[in-house]
Amino acid sequence: MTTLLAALALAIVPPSIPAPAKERPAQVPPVQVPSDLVPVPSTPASPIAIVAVQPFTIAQPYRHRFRKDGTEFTSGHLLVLRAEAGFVQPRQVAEPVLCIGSQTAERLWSDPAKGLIVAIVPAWTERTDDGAERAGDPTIDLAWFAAPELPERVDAAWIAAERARAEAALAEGRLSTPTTRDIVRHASLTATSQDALIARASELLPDPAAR
Amino acid sequence: MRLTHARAGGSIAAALLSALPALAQCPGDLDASGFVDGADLAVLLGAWGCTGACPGDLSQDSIVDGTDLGLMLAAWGACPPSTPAAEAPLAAVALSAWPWASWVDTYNSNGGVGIAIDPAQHPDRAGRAALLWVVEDRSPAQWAANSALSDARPAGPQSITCPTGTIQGNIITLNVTGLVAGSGDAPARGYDLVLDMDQDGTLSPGDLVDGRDGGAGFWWTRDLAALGPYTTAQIASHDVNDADIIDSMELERVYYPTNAPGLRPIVAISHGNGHNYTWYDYLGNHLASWGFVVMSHQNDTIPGIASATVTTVEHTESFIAQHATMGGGVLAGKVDIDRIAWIGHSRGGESVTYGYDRLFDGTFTSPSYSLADIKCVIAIAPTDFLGTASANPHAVPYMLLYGAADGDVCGCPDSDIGDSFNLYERAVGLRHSTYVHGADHNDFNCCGINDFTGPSGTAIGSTLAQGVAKASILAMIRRSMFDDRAMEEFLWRQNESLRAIGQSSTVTVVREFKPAPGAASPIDDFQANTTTTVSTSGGAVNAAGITNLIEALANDNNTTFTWVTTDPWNGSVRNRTTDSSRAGVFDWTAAGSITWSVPASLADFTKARALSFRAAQGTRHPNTVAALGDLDLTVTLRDTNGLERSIRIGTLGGGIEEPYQRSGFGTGAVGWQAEFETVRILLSDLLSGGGAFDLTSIATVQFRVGGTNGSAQGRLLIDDLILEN
Repeated sequence: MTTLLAALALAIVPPSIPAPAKERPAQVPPVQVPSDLVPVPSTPASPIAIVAVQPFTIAQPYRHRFRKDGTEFTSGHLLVLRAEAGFVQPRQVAEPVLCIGSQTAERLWSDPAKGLIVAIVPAWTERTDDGAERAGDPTIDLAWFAAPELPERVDAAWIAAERARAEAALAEGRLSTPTTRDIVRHASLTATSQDALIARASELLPDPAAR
Repeated sequence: MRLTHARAGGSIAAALLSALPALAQCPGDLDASGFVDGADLAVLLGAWGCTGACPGDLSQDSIVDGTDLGLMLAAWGACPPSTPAAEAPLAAVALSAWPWASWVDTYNSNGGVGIAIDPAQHPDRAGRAALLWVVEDRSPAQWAANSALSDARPAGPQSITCPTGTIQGNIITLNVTGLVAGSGDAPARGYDLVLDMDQDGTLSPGDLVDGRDGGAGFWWTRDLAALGPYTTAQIASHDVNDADIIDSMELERVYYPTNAPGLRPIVAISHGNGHNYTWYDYLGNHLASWGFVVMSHQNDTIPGIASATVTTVEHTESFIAQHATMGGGVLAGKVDIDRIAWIGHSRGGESVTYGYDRLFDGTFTSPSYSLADIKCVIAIAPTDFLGTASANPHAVPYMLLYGAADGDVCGCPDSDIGDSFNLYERAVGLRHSTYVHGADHNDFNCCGINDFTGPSGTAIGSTLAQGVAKASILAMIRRSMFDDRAMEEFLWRQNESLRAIGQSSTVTVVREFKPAPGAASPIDDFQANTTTTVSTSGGAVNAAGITNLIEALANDNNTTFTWVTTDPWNGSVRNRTTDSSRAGVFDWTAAGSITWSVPASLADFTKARALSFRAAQGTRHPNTVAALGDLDLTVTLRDTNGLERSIRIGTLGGGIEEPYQRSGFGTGAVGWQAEFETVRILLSDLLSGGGAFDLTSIATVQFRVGGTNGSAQGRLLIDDLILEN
């Protein structure tokens, strides 16, 4: 019966387009709701802390997709960093590029709720005051968030320019260094493959569910 | 008569445009009223003795005399039905003002279908009884082979009386009880309508038919936002283990129909940055239920667009190569590898666009598929990192789905990267956009952060946003992949006029649609003849009473949405300086007009189905702010005899949408990016009420604003004034 009544109701109502609503005068702008996505913080800026580090070597060369030249590497460091939410929360527009020494870092996972980032940093070298070369060390060399950009578009010159900006900020006291007070130093890892390296990196994240 | 075009007026125009055809069918009916009566006699007597080409010379012997009087008296009374059976639009929706009816084709099956038999256009039928038949859609050849009528409704043909007087308030409601909507994969089922005047159960002389000459008389449509006819299943995670994809990005999730016959097209989904390939179950299940095999893959978005594009194109290739064996072989022999749609969200939206560009440029080739296999590309709030040359859809059918409350890819004026409409404007093929008020970036997936940014109380949430997404994406894919014309009206009709059954009426949706270039003739798209006094088609353009008319690249030129006179394209975050999408803009506070002279090559509007244009209100302009609401104006066509037809665009469903009242990037007034909205005027509607208006010879198209023409004041961006074929 209900169906029949509904059918009859349809049968007597021709389809129509309503008349347009009347315009209304200008009024007080409505209250706006801000996004939970926090704005991109200004750069250069430092991570808050280095939480964990693990040197590694990898048998199969790994192409570094987080810089333009895309060179392959066979050693480096796995890192866990803590940073302000604005640096951790993924976003679609350009994100601040995480740099360590003269290298960009590959972001593997982020845990915005805890402010954690797991990253791979290919090995690099630093020149000492006496002109010698030493291996880069993410626990002592400059680690910072550089200007927002797509990592695949940055090259050595870009990194050098951003590093100079960061060092100037450091010298002027506008940039601090991340604390390593509670750092967990893991023994060096020998990974057979990229899969194995990434699998190990995932274990460094305190909450694997955040991967 | 040459007026045999499909649906644009056809025999309606033939009956109205000149008295001559009426005379041929009904000698003596000098005023084409459908009757030979005193009015005709008065004309004849008024011309008595006239020599040469005279009204009333029925015998055509160049003199009005007793011979003609004899012919008239012999034909005295009602004219015989027009012959043969004539194609005429019948299915219609009622409008609140002239033309009182719009002869559209697509109807939701939870509503009704109106039958508009305009007494002025069909005077010989007015007041007469007839049978109204609903017949399963037949092709012209099928009609030619079989004129017997068979009604698709259990109750059979409907007895009606053709209305008299005017069409206003006289639209007949079709009995739709028992009418089946949808057909297999197709959400809509086509029916032809026959007005059987002699009630003989055949399509015969004197009858009217809607849908004989191509297409359907009307489309009876299921809920596009609801699941389709097929049951679905999922391959939750498949590792393609492809050397061309990095190890951490090799997973796919596949949704497929379990009981769909034949080969099923592919839809690939590329997620955005920080998103996950498992976040699009709503879309995967929906499209699978409508017969598509959907593959959502891990997308390498963090390094950038180039890396994400690699995963898009390589996962597509891997899926084609591996589909027969994945999931235990459930897809073996069931996938149509020559029909592919790409859907991408945010950075993924740019990666599917760049993927198409790479196929177009030849910088990526695949042994599994080619450019021609990509039937459409759909970008949900895409970024624009790569710009004009690379984030370029070229001529692929392209759709943009975008939320006005997007807090990430925000459409902000300070950077081109977050301006999704840039990509849309670059598309040169068939294109459509669905812009959703109150929807944020992550409403279009399951699990992203709440990035809603907009006026309090306007957030619609993911359920409503995804309802819009499901319906509009399905419509676009079917239109692009299968040339499903039933779906097209979901892409261009005002949302107030047509939306999916399951789509909330409280959600404001703004639609743009532009056909492929081969289906459109521009009167003025502002791309050529770049002064304000000459249109693209070469005709003169005259402005009167309006102010600040310019045409140029439609690009907001500063970093704020605050209105300043030095940024006439304020809010039009739709171009980079390297792009080329031009438009016009003007404002008014009193009555005024813009008039386009129509060149002779375009003057025969009966060759077209519709006149359309797109327009947007000027963001935060004082005239926009002063009168918030949909902006209304009048479009007037004038024929070469000086006769006019005018239609208020608000009648078609609300006018040009009020800008979303979002603040930021400026002070004072609020309002966000320019929301271009397509207005499509069916030319058959302009024949409502009869008369001698001559669609075969249109002299001018005029926009009338202010005064009694619509909104008292406003600022309007305009573009793509075209005839759609």
